[in-house]
Amino acid sequence: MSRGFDTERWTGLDGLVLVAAGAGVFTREASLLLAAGLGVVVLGYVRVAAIPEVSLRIERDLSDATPDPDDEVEVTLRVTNEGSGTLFDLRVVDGVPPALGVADGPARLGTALRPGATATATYTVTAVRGEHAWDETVVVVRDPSGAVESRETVSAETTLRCEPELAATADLPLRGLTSKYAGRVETDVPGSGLEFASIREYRHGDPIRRIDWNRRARTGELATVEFREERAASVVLVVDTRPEAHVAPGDEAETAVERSVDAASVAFSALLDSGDSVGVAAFGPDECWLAPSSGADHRARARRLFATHPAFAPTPPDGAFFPSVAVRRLRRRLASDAQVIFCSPLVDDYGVSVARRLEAYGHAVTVVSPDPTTTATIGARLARIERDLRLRELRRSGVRVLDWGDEPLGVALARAEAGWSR
Amino acid sequence: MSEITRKPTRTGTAMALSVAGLTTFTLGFTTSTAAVGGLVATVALAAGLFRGSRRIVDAAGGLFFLSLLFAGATGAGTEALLLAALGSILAWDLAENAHSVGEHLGRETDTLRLELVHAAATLVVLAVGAAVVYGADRAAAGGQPITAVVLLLVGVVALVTVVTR
Repeated sequence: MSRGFDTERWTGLDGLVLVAAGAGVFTREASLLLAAGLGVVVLGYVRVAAIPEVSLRIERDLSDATPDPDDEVEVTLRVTNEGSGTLFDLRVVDGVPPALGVADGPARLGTALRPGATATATYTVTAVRGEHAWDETVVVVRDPSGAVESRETVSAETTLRCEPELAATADLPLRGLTSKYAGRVETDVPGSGLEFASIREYRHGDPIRRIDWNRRARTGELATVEFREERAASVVLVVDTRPEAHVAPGDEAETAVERSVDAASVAFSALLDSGDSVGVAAFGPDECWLAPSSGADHRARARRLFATHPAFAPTPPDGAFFPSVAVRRLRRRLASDAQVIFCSPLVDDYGVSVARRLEAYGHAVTVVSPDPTTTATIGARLARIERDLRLRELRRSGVRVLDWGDEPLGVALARAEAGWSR
Repeated sequence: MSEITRKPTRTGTAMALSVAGLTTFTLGFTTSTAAVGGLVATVALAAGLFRGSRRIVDAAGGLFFLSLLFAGATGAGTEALLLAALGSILAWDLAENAHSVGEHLGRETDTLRLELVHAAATLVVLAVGAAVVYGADRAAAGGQPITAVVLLLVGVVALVTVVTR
């Protein structure tokens, strides 16, 4: 038997009993003394209150442990009393992962449980990207009178893993910086390709197919037609996961980090499809780096990374972060011919300085910026104007910027592309 | 996203208010002042439960106690007063329990079993207690001299101090 802490529920009853008894004596009314007697019985009941040894087993079943995003997953919580005593007053609150929202039915349970009996609670959560582990379940046990209460935590390991498919729904055009491998990015380097670039004097060894025969017929000189060479790029997708980037326009809306990761996974898939080598990095307290590469293995690795790496978790990180160290480390890792696609809401000046520094070091930077601002209040409008100014500053320094509002990424891209120079 | 309504549970509210109503009815057999007091206490209990305020629930308990005290002092019948005392304690207990369960688990959770077991436990203890007290009274029926009454008071005080220590 364990004695928990006193709930102080019946505090004051002893005083009332004494008052009733005193009044009974003074008025010589037996009925008041009897009522006081009843109070004494209750006090005795409260006095003997004790909680049996709590020994609970908790099991949790998920209808689908690896759901797609936005799927509803039914969770069945089973609580079994493995102790020898009956638990008269058992209250269970399940430790639902903070990122998962309970969509239907409370993740709570209140019942009385005989030894060996099992109580069940069923609720539904909406899956979001990531790996979610359930926290400890909090159990509150009270004795039948409610005078004594004890709190314990019981844990049952359950993990829900939600890995979205990498879908290439929008094609992100790259900038001119490329590697030496053939690919699809049109460069200004003359050579073989599709788009006409220039005509130059014939040099020994030029392929016969590329000799300009019209000119030969007209002037008698040999000339070679040159095309814009198409090469593959090496791209690193950098996602801003600093606590500052965990901002959303409303309580229920997706945070900018969520949207950045979405944009990065779309871009990843599209770039991989077009033969470029793509890498992933997180710019935040949690370190994450996937070196640029290509192939099916790489795609699978990236899919897992986007889904389950703690750096891309939908909840803000709480570790210490040294941004200048992170920038230096990122720069060391980037190959000199690597382009950078930086996904950041740009709600502070540091994001701008990161993009500008990377651009200055010769990595062609494209910023994809999900817009988390609103126009609800004057402060929000000021934040929006500040962000607009930051975007303008970036554009002025030669960085490509995609301002991504509420519309799908593809639409934002089509609108922005019109204004981009090659 | 479903929110948790941290208000006294519906089951507990219904049970507490019905018991409070019955108690008021019982007080009606004593004096009309006590019955009015019971009615006020019931309204206060209802207000406390709907507002979700523990303080108002406790105040309602106090009003019930005052009504009992008045009824007893003006010579109410033993049976009626004992029954009303039983009802008052049960009503307050159920209301307070509904409040605490609502705070822990919210209104959406199914807590019928939990609250029924709690109500049954309290009811059994109170019923047995009332039967014992009433039986003792019957057994010792007759006009007690004042010394016996004083001794009884001393006994009650001793009991209370021992039991609450």
